Amino acid sequence: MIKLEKVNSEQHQEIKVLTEGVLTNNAKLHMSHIMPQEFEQASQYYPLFLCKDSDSGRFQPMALFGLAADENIYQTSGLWEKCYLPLKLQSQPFYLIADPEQEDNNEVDKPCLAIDINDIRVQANQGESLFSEGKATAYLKQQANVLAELSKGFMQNSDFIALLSEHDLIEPVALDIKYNNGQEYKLDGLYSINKEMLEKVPTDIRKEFEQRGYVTLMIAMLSSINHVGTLIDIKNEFNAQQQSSHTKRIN
Amino acid sequence: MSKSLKHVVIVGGGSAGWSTAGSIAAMHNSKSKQGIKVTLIESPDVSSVGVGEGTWPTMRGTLQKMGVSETDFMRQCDVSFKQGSKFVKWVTGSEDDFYYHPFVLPQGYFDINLFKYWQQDSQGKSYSDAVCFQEQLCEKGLAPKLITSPEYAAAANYAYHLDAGKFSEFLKSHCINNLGVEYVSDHVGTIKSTDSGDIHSVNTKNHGDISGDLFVDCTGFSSLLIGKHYQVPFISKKDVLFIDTALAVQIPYEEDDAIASHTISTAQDAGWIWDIGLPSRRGVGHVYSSSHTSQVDAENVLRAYLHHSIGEKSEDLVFRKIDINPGFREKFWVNNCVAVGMAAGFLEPLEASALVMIELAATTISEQLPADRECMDIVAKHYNARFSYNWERIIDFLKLHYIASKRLDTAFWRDNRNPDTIPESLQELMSLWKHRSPSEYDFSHKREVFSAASYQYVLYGMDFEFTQMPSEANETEQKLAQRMFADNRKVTEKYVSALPTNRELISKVAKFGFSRV
Repeated sequence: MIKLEKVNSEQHQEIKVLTEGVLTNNAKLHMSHIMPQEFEQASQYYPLFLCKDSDSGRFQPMALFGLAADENIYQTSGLWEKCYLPLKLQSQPFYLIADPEQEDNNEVDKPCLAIDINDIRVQANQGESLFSEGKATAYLKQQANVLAELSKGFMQNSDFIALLSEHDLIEPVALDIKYNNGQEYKLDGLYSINKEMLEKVPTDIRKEFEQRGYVTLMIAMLSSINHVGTLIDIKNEFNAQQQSSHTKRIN
Repeated sequence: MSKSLKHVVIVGGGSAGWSTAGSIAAMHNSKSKQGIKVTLIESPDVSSVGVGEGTWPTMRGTLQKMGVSETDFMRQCDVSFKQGSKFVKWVTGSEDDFYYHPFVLPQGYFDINLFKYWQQDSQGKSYSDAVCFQEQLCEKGLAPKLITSPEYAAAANYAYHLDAGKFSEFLKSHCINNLGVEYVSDHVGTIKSTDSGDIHSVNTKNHGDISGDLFVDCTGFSSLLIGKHYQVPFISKKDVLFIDTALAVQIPYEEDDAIASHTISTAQDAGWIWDIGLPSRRGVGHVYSSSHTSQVDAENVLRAYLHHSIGEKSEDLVFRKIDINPGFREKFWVNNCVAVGMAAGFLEPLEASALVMIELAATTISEQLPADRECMDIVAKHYNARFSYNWERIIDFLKLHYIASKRLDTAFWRDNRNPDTIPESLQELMSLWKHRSPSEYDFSHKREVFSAASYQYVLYGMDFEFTQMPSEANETEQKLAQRMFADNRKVTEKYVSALPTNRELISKVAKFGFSRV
């Protein structure tokens, strides 16, 4: 269970965070949020889709790591170390939360920095300190920057999605996967850009898309879908290995 | 050559006027110069009656065709989800007496009739609970879908509860702003006829004569065109459906009360009480037969009912009285004039037939819109036959609720089962249904208001006496039935654990809205 505490120099003076271990910590994560500023980079490694947030029903750009629930093919295949790590994962074990001390006054929500003290990387012995002589360390400042990027990204994403929805450019993508061993799997809940509708967008809107950098985002998302094929190949290979080692054992 | 139809004039607003305007304008592209022109004349100081707070699932398709966003509609018309009706105390009147008429069809409806297998071994479940997962969703106060479901898509088939006044306003602004409907706020006075008896134009106080090719009478009870002008007789059905008066009231919620996702209809000594949960309030009303009780007694019954949920507060409430004259016009379409809504007919709100009849009329008129005056008489002939049939079927279906009851405690219930008050068409069906289930053979029209499944839910919910035809059990079918019951249990479990409460989802719609895809 995640347990968030507002970061402060008194309470967290002695705490350290291991910089290694993000990947093993997320070994069963099958997707993660992607921000506009990292779209292009992420699209070189992961298939990017839009998915609905289960709590709000709103679309969020996501990078897919697996083709089934709890599956992370990048981690199981050892590929992950060579890939770009999304901001959302870089920011762990830190989070932005609504300031518990500010909740009652009427000021605009100013988020504050929090740490998940139940994260396995958070302990007292090794790793980066958060504070040194009561002052934030370079590590903490860097993590705070990543979170600031993230929160900027979430807002930009929501503008991007709003414009896509307004022009009916989002369409569901059904992935019907058939593995070499005959196993079939239907992956739904994924959405992408509707190319046909995109061609029908009036010139002035198209211009707006270009000016806001949305065309680059859309191209990145559409081209990244090819990575699904790579993931299927890796799984086929993995299945074949499993099969042959199983056969060997029987023999 | 006969004059082609180019201009439809709708007299009267309300749910009827604006639904008809919206359906015709959307289908016939009124916002383009080449489309059919639609003008709606609404009197500035006639207020609509504001009944019909429940819809049928067909409303989803109707709104979608008009290009309405479900999120906008839900936010602006104070809308909650409706998954069917719960009938309380209709069978025996005892405290634990209830049954459901859900919107989801029985499991395997098109492949097998599960009734006889349920009758052989009900496993302690009611018919609707054994064959349909929706009763459990309603009993547990759950919503029919998720916030991630697209607009109008359902996990469990659903309709709406809505604020009828806000609904008219919402459709009005959609019709004017998005669909190209011409709006005239004025009083309609005299009517000018042509030699053939058609309406040439209607005269308005400030906008002069407004002429058109087809006139739609949406003037409600006053029935200005079809009733007053054409003198089409009204066929009263008070001898079949005794209810003629309603007392209505709005009840605010206590903080975070659950919002029921079904209409609750509770039988009383001389009528029944509706209870409809909107997001911001409940709408409650007592409909009764004035020949079987007095207004004072009816008010006391309603107060006693409300006392259960709001206690002392029920004592100061003031009820609004509405007269119900059950029945419909002998014809609905005469010359170049067709009546929609209460101008055409009206019945007690049991099974929420008011709005669905408006939708059905508006859809039929749009889809069958005659190309020219010559075609119009043929279309009118078909329309009249179809809608007389529709009204008759609704009356049969409503009457079914009263005659399948086993209550003998008051004159109202006993009189309802007097054969002289039961339409012959229904008596015939009841004879058939003693030995076989209601089937699609009995309701073979396209777009029937109530399908055989609805009749099954009511009959078997009400413990209707039934004797099997003596025949050997078919083993294959027996197995299929067992599988269907098991499937229903599985689906019920799955939905009960996955769906949010009705109030949760309605709050999320207000906050986030649904996506179109």
